[in-house]
Amino acid sequence: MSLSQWGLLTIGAPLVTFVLFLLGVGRRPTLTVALSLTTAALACAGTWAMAITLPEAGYQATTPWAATADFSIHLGIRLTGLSTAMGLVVGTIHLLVQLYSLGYMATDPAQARYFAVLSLFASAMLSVVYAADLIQTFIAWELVGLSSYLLIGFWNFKPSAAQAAKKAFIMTRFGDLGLFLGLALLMLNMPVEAGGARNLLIALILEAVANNDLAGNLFGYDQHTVIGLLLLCGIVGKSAQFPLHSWLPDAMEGPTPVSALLHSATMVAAGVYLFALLQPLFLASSITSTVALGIASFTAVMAAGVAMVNPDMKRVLAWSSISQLSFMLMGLAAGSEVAGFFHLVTHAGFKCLLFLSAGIFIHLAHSGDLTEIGRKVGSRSRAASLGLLVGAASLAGVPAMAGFMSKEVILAQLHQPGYEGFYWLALLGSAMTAYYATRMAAVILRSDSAAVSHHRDTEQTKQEVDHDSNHQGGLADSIMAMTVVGLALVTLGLGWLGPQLAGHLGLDAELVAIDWDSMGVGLAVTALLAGGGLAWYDYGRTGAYREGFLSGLPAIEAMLKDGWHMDRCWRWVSDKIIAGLTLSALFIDRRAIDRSIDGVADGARSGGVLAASLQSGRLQWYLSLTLAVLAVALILLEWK
Amino acid sequence: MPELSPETLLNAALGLLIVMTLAGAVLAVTLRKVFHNLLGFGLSVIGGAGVTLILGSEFVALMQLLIFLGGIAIAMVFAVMMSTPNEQAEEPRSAGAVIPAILLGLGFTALICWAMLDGNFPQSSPYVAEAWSVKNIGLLLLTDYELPFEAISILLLAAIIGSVLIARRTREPEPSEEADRG
Amino acid sequence: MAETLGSYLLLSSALFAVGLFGVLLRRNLVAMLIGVELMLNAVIINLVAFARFAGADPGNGQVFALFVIGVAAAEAAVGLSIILTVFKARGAISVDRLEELSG
Repeated sequence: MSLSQWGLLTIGAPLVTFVLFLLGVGRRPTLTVALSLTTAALACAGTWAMAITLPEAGYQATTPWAATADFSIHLGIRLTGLSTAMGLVVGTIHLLVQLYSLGYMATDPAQARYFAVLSLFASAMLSVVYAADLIQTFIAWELVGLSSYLLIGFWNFKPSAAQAAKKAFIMTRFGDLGLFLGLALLMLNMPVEAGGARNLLIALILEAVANNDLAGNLFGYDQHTVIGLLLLCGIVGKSAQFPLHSWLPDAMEGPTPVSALLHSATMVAAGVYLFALLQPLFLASSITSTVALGIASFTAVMAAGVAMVNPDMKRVLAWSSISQLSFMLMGLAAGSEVAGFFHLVTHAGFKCLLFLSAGIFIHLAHSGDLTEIGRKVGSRSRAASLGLLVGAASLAGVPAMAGFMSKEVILAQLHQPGYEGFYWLALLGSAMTAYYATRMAAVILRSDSAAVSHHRDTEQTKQEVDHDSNHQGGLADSIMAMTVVGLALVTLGLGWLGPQLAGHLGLDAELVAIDWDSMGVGLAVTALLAGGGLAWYDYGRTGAYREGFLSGLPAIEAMLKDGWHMDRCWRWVSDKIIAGLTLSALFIDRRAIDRSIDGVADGARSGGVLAASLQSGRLQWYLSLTLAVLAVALILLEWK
Repeated sequence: MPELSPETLLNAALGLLIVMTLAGAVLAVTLRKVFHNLLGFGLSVIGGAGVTLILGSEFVALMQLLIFLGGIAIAMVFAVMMSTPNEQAEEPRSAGAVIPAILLGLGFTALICWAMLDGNFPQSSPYVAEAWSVKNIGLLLLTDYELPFEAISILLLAAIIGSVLIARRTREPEPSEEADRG
Repeated sequence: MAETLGSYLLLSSALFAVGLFGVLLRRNLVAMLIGVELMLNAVIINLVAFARFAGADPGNGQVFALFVIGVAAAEAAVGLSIILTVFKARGAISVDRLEELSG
C-alpha cells in the first residue's frame, strides 16, 4: 500500500465505525464494539506503517477541496517526522484505551455509543495530526472538541456531567475564536501562489516563515506577533492553560478511560502539537514566545499547587496534566525542537497509565477520594498498584524514568541566559510535581500501615472488593489489568527512546542527551528530593500525620483547594468593585440613580407584563400578530 | 343575439371557473364539518386548476390537480377519519373574534392588491407554445434551477422521514422500542 | 377579461383572503391546514399569471409554481402527521386545547 492509502485508512477506519453506528449498527452493541476495536487496530497499524516507511524527505498528498479565485482549501495528508511520531502516539494510546474500555464499560447500557464516539474522537485527532492544510486542521480540531464534549457528557443523566461537558465546549470555543481569527489573518497575508489563490498548506506556511514572507506591520505590531498571539489563544484553550484551564478538572465527569485518552494523546495534546507544528511562526516573534513562556510557567506552578491539596484522585491527575502541558509548552516556546514534543510522548505514556490505574482503583473503591481508595483498595490491586508506582515515579521525575528524561531536556533548554526566571519557576514546578505525585502514591499504597485504627476493619472491605470483582466478571478485570501492566512496561522503556525520536524528527540525537554531571541534573534531583521527601514525611512514613504541611497554613490550603479562588475572584469583582462603584455613584447623586433604577425596574416589569400578554399560547393569535407585522412592513415599503 | 366569438367563450369559461374557485374556497372555510370543508376544497382546487389551464400552463394545472386533489386532499380525508371518529360540528367563534379576523384578512388582501396593481410590470412576449411546453420547464429545472430543484428534493425527503417519525412516536414507548434504545 | 393581468391578480388575492380567514378562525387543525392549502393555491395562480403577462421567459413562473406545489406537499405531510400526534396525545384536534406555551 502507498502512504496515501495508509493515511486514508488510518483516518477513515475509525470514522467508518462512527458512521455505521449512526446508520443503525448501534442497535447491536457487540457488533459495534467489535467493529470499533477492529478499526482501532487498523488505524494503529496504519500509524506504525506510516512512521516506519516514511521517506527521508517527508511525504505530502493533497487534493483541492474548495477553491475560489482568491483562496483555495486542500484536503490531504502531510507526513513528517513530527506528524508520524504524534500519530503513532495517538493510534497506540487509542487502541490501548479501547482495549481497556472493553473491561471498564462492559456493563454500561450505552456501550455502543461510547465506542462509536471514541472512534470519532480518534479519527478527528488523527486528522489533526496528519492534516496538510491548516483549514483541515481547524475542522478536525473542532471535531475533536465536539467529540470530547460528547464523551465528557457521556453520562448525560448526571447534571454535573452535562454541565462539565458544556463548560469544556464553551471555554475551548473562546480560544478557538482567536485561533480562527489568526487563521484568517494568516490566510490574508500568505504569499500568492501560482494561479492567484492563497492557501494555508502547512508546508507553504513554514516556507513563508523561513523566507520572511510574512513580515509586515499589522495594528502597529509585527504580523508574526499578531497572528502568533491569536493562534496561541486556541492553543491555550485546547491545552487548558491559564486563564482557560478550569474546564479540564471538570472534564473528569466523563468515564475514566476517556480521561486517559483526553489527557494523554488527544484533546489537550492537540494544542501542544499545533504549537510544535507551527513553532517557527511562534518563535519568529519574541513577544509571542515570551507570552507563551509566561503563561506556561505561571500555569505550571499554579496547577501543581492545586494538585498538591486536592483530595480527589482524578482531579489531582487533571491538575497535573495542566501543569505538565505547561512544561511542554515551555520547552517548545524556549526554542527547543524536540524537548517539548519528547515530553508530550512520555507524558502520553505515563499519564495514560496513571488514569487507567485510577480507573481500576475507582472501579473497586466506588469513590474517587484518595483516602477512600487507600482504605478500601490500597495495594490489594496488584496491577493498579504497579501502574500507579511506575506512573507516579515517572511523573515525579525519578532519574531514569520516562518523565525525568524528557523533563530534563526541557530544563536544560531553559537553563540558558535570558530564561533564568522561567527556569526557576520550572524547578519550583518540578518540586511541587514530586510532592503531589508522592502524596498520591503514598496515600493510596501506604494506607494500611498508617491509619488502620480509625477506619473500618479490613475484612469487610475485602469482601466488598471481592464482591465487586465478581460482579464485574473476571474477564473484564483481567483485560483492564493486562492493559495496565503492558502500558507500565512500555512506559518504563519510553524514556530511553529520546535519541530515536530525535532521529525520527530528523534532528541530532545530542539534543536529547542528558549531561549527567551538570548542575542542572543536580538541581532537578534536589527538587525531586525536596518535594518527594516532604510528601513522604507528611504522608508516607510510618506514623505520619497524613496531613499536608499546607494544612498548617489554612488560608493557602483553602485557596488551593478552591483552584486559586478563580470563581471567587470573579464573584468578588462583581460584588465588591461594581457594588462599590454603585455606592459612590449613589453618594454623588442618590436621587437620580434611585429614580432611574426604579424607572428601569418598572419599565422592565411592565414590559414583561406586556410581553407575557402577547404570549397567549394560542396559535392563531401568533399568526395574526405575524400578519400584522408583515402588513406594517409592506406599508412602509410601499410608502416611499 | 351577439355572436359567440372565441373570446367571449373564453371569458365565460374563466368567469365560471373563478366563481367555482371562490365558492369552493368559501365553503372550505365556513362549513362546520371538516369533511364538508374538504369537498369545498376539492371544488376550489378544480377551479384553480382550470384557471391555470386557461392561462396556458397545462403541466402546472395537471400537477395542481394531482397533488392537491390526489395527494393532499386524500391524505386529509385519512387524517380526518383517523382523528375524529364521530365528528361533531365545530362551535362557531364569537363575533369578537370573527370581525377582527375578517378585517385583518381583508385589510391584508387589500394591501397586497394595492401593491400588485400599483406595480409596473414589464410587458411579456406574446404567447408562444414552445416556451410553455413541458420540455422548456424540464430544461429550466435541470439548468437554471438545478440547485432549488435539488433543495426541494431534499426537503421532500426530509418531510417524508420526518412525518413518519413524528406520526410513529407515541406517548408511552413500547417495551420493544425501549429495549432497542438500550 | 381573460387577457388582462388584473383579473387573475384579483382572483388570487380573494382566494388568499378566504384561506387566511380560515387559518385565523377555524378551531379544527385540519380545517386550518385546508386554509393554508388554499393560500398556496392562490400563490400558484398568481405565479402562473405573472408568467403569462409579465417577464421574458414564461418557464420561470411555472418552475416556481412547481416548487410551491412541492413545498405544499411537504408541508401537508408534516402537518398531518403532527395533527395525528396531537390527536394521540390529547384525544382531540382543536387548536384551542394547545395553550401550553402561554406566557
